[in-house]
Amino acid sequence: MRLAQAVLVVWGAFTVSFVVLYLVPGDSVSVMLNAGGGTAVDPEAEARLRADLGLDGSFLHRYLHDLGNYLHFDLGRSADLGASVGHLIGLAVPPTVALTLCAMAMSVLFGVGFAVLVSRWPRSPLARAARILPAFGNSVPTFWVALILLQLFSFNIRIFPVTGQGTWYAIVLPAVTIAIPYGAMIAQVALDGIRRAQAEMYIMTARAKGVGATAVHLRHVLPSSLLPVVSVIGVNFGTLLAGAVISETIYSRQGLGSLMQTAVLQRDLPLVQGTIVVTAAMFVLVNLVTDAAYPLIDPRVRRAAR
Amino acid sequence: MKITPLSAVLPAALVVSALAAGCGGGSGSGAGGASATASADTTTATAITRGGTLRFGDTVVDCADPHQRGNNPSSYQLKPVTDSLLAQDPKTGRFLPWLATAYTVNDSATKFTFTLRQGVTFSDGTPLDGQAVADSIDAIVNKLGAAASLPIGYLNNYKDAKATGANTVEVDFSKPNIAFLQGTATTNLGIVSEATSKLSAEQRCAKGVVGTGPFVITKFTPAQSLAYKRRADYQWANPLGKNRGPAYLDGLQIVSIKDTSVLANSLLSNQIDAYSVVLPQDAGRIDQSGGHVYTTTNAGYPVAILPNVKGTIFSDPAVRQALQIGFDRKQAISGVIGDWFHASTSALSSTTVGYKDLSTDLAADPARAEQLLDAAGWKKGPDGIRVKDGKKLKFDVTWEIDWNATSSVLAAVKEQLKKIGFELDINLVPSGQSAAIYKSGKFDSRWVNGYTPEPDTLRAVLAVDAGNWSNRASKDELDGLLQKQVQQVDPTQRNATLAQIQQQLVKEGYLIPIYDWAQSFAVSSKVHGAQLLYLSGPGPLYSDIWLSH
Repeated sequence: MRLAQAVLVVWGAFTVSFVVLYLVPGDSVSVMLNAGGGTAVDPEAEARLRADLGLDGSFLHRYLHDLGNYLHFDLGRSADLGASVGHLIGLAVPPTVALTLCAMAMSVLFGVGFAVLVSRWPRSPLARAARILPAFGNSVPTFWVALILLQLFSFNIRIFPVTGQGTWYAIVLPAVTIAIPYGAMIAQVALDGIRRAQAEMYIMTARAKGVGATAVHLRHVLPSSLLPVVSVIGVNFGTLLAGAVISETIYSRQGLGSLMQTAVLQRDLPLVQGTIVVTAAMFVLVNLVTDAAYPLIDPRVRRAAR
Repeated sequence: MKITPLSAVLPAALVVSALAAGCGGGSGSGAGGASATASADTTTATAITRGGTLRFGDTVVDCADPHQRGNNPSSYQLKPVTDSLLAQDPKTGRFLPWLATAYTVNDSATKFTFTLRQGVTFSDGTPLDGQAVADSIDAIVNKLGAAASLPIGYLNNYKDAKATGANTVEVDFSKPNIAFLQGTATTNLGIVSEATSKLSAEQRCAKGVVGTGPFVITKFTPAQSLAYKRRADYQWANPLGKNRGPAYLDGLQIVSIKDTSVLANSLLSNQIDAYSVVLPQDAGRIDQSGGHVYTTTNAGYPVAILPNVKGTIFSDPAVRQALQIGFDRKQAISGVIGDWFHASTSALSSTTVGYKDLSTDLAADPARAEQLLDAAGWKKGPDGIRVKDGKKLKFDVTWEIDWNATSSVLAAVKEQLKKIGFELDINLVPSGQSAAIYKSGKFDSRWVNGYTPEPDTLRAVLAVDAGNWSNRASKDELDGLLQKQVQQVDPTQRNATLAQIQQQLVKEGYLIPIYDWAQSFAVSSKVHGAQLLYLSGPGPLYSDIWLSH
């Protein structure tokens, strides 16, 4: 059932994006010739170029033709770069996955760690002061953070490189940039989950039995507060990908976000179409995984499902 | 008119000695361009060190074919691969032998022949011969077509190209096309190998091209990475270059940096050695750090407003003329864009071959502009904007991609025009949409800029039977002149016709030039020997550049 829904979502993404791209005026040929530089091109030659790139033809004809290709995993050729869309996306996915995994790991670590520490000693002055941090982290604009980090740790103190290619530690600054708003969101949700769990009767029972405060915090409070965190990870996967676009530009990394951005700016319709469908598929996959993870984390959900 | 090897050597010798004389510390900043080719480095004669890789910071090109990507700064990245048949001396406009040792043009500018230099090879080992050159030129028209939008502009009315001997090639046109000659001196018509000429446009983009140039592509992933290594057997350098043999650099690397705002800091923190398109606020910092910003005004028609005369307020010549003199160009650009951009003084930039100084006709005279508008029946309304027959003196400037602070320049012009009763609407449209708008005719004016140094682009863009971007209804004297200049083989005669064209365009207001486009090239203190040869298209002469350690 879930799988059928997932397929429907991906098909929906394909169709909606196809319709929108068909209706939007201008294609990669118009961009190519305009950026070509201040000289007029013979309209016949322009028409021939369009035909060569497969950008002419009726709506239904192109729709069915493209849909057929997609079902065979042929995502077409990029009008601008000449290479196959599948190949370009294939090159872009690993760096994006690496970046989002890194960012996700950092944000879970920071977010949950922050929440655990702050809620363990809630009345300390440090904790009280630190409570404003998640809100701040959430509202600070990604590109500003990126530029500040770059200025500090790449130009002033030369630890990290300005460009994303080559070294493994080039992933650090971009991952931190994305992890800040994402981690802030996780911290807020985790704090709320912990607060709720702390009010439960079984916590009082555990303390009454003599279990130490820290042990209670980590073994009883924390697990039940993780469920909402898992939801946040799944639902806000989009934030990760969106943050990736900005990070990928400022840190000059390769990836889906920057591929999509270039494709949109160049009006490279086959490539835009391809990245939309692939991104939709990734969303759907992440949601399926988080749905499957629920019963694994929380025994109550497991028992309810039986 | 035949150029023999001997008569070609003399101007070359003059150029080389002029360059050597100019080497005594002239800065590279363009003040018209005469000093643009002089190197800023005074220790060239003694301290050249070989080796090293020049790291150029930029968004890596998505296509490694210089015939399909020719604008700034893509051309910076693709210049090292190919050489051209001729080179053009920026000081005199004369053509110098490069891959071709001699050339002829017939009197009607329809037949061009070239005698090729012996011993030149492409980087894949194949020889440079008549067939290779013929195929290279033919492929632009018959294989690439509109995908090669810049080169094809030089091949208007192309008929065929054929090898007339092992070392000679003939290119024929069905109608006169003297513009082709200057084209052969640009990177846009750089010569590629036979194997490359057989490939499709997409294949050339994805794999890159094989040329005779001083560097060879070693690694290319579109939009991701691009690296070159030098050719050790390179012996046929650009006649305007000082280095006659293989490049001093071991290699070039395009470092992928997508955000232009971090380029300056990347240079200053020694993560790149050079980049192009300098922001005005960074030029000072780079100079202070010991680096240098080379600038030069580019040839071609200037950055301008091009009015649509069909069905708009610009159908009235008085309105166009009033606009032409209604604002101060220097004031509009000062402080908004770098000071290496100069206010236009004609319908061609000041470094174009055939340029005629019309600064008096373009001088700001708001009082006279107001007189013209009053006389044409445009009276000032209550809000200061003029009205005639219920129609406001309002016009939009429509274009896509906001490069070089265009919106800010237009905002400055808008402020000035308000004083004389014009209302200017800034209409920046999303990428890809301007083509449809221009075709529909539903715009008042467009923002334009000529990228190629050849003045024939004015004909391609404005002639009624060519681009006709102004949507003029019928041919007139201007069209006659535009057709005439492309037929004139003698430079003096052609320059005279071009002068008349510029006068017409300025007087009639068919082109409202704002500023002359200029390129900028920033280097760190390690980089020496650069020069910008603007008549060949944007980019430095890489075989002259060397790095100090």
